[in-house]
Amino acid sequence: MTSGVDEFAEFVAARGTSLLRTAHLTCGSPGEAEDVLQSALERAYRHWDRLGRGDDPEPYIRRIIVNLAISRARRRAIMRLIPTHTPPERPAAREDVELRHVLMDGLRALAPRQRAVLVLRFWEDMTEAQAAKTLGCSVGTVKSQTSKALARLRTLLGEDVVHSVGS
Amino acid sequence: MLRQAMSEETRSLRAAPDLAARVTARTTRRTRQRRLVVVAVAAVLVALGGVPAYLAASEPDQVASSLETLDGVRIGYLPEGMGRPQRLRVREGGLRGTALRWQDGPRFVQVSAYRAGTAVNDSMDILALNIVDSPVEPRTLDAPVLSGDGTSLYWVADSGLILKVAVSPDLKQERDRIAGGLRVVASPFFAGMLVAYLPHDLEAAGVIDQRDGILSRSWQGESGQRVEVEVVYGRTAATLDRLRAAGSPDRPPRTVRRTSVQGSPAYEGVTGQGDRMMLWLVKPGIGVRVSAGSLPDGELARIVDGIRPRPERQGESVDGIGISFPRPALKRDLAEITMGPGWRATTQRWNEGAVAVSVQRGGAVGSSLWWQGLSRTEPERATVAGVQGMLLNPGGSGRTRRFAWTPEVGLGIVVTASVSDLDGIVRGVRAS
Repeated sequence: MTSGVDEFAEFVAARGTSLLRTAHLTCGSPGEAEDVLQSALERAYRHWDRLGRGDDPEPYIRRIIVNLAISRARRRAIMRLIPTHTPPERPAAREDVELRHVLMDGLRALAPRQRAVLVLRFWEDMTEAQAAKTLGCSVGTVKSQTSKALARLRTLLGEDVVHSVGS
Repeated sequence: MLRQAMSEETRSLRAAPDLAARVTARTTRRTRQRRLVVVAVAAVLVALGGVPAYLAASEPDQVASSLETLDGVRIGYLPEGMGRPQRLRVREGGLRGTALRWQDGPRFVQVSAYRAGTAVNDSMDILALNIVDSPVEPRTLDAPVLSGDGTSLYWVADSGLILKVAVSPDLKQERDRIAGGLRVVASPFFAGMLVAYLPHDLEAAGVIDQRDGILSRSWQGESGQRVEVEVVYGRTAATLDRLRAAGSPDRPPRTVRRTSVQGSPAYEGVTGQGDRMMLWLVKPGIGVRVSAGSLPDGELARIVDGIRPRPERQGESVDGIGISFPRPALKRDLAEITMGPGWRATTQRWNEGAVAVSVQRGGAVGSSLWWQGLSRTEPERATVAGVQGMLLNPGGSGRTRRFAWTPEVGLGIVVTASVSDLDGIVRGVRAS
């Protein structure tokens, strides 16, 4: 018979890395991601008895991660008083810059909720309904945020990069 | 391409091997710290003005005394000229509750109280209900969720209780004052026990905690006074020494001496935080520990003396849960007590076991182990008489069905009845 602590440790060992990757993409920085992941796991651990009753706890923890990442990004922006993530509106697409870095810089430059929508839809492979549930918003909001995020990404990356990406 | 970039970006990331250990250690430490600072934090938030004062220890609004009470919530402030309220039953998403609505032409104020059971614990859970229109992200898990147009505010005010204040657009500037005037009238019942006395200047701090199979609740005062009541059910409370040792290592008292409480053997000691603690067995399988800090001499003993098992109700009842049967004159059999790790069950049968109601209490109720102990087969989600729960023998070929649900933290109810009687019996338990 395993105790709640053992079950929790097994869960973290099995899914911790996957959750850290989601946290990294939604936060935009590795240090912030680890902090968000740890906070989310603490929250889950406090309710582990109820979480572990048969349902998969992972969607619940992903929801906490995404919402924490959004809240932190907004709080940080307010504290700094200036939008620190806004890069030049149309950076030139340079041949010598690795495409992945350009894409990730573009992702980091999005508003936190738009970044979260893209991570959930294109990294987590969630449906619009699943993403809506995770973010606590309507399916219509997910659709509009996705559309705006992709449009903003195209603007940030520049048309030439977008053409070279092919989408 | 975006997906591929994401994959490459995160490929080298690995969770630290000691992540789980760090989380469990930090959670234990923080829970203790949080209990000590919650009143101070609430006072600061209220001083800043942007958050309703549902946690605050401030004086109630002067208008309070003449206003209404809604499902255990006292309304302390309303704008002038709103007249008398209309009492409503309300539904929102999957939530059901009651509301009071004041209407003055186009101006209105509506206060709603939803009993959400054990599923909603903080603002993230409210967001996930998807009922708030264009929600404003709360800064903390304890903060309220505001609708994008600023006319509706939602928050978890107590265990399983969501409060909502909705106003017409012209009353938006009154919204926070109305919310700040709401007070959850403290229930004297907790974890199957009656807590008859607490010093009047203490307020409930946070919600019921369920860690380590122990049900606990804290109260705090503005000057640092604190009281924590822990109720332990099941084999962990089989003896006084097991009760003393229950929970994580920092919880039990370090030094103890023998004493008595209500005629039963008890221990009195000091916890690792320096608080005085008294602990005793109410019955085999039910133990109580009470700790207190910064209280005058004699107050701990007075609190302890006021803690008793919840009185049985008149008429049919099982462990404090009243039952009204759809048809009378069922023949009552003997009740049976069973215990497990972190839970204790009182099972009453009628008509030679044709009908049974089992009331199960304890910190382990609702855990995966507890659910596994109820049923050998995979339970199935079901709604019976409007109650959401689990059918424990969904594929059973016989005419008997077992249905279980957890109406509040630390309380589980299991009803066994024929297919034709199940709905009426569950309705009778729910209505009591």
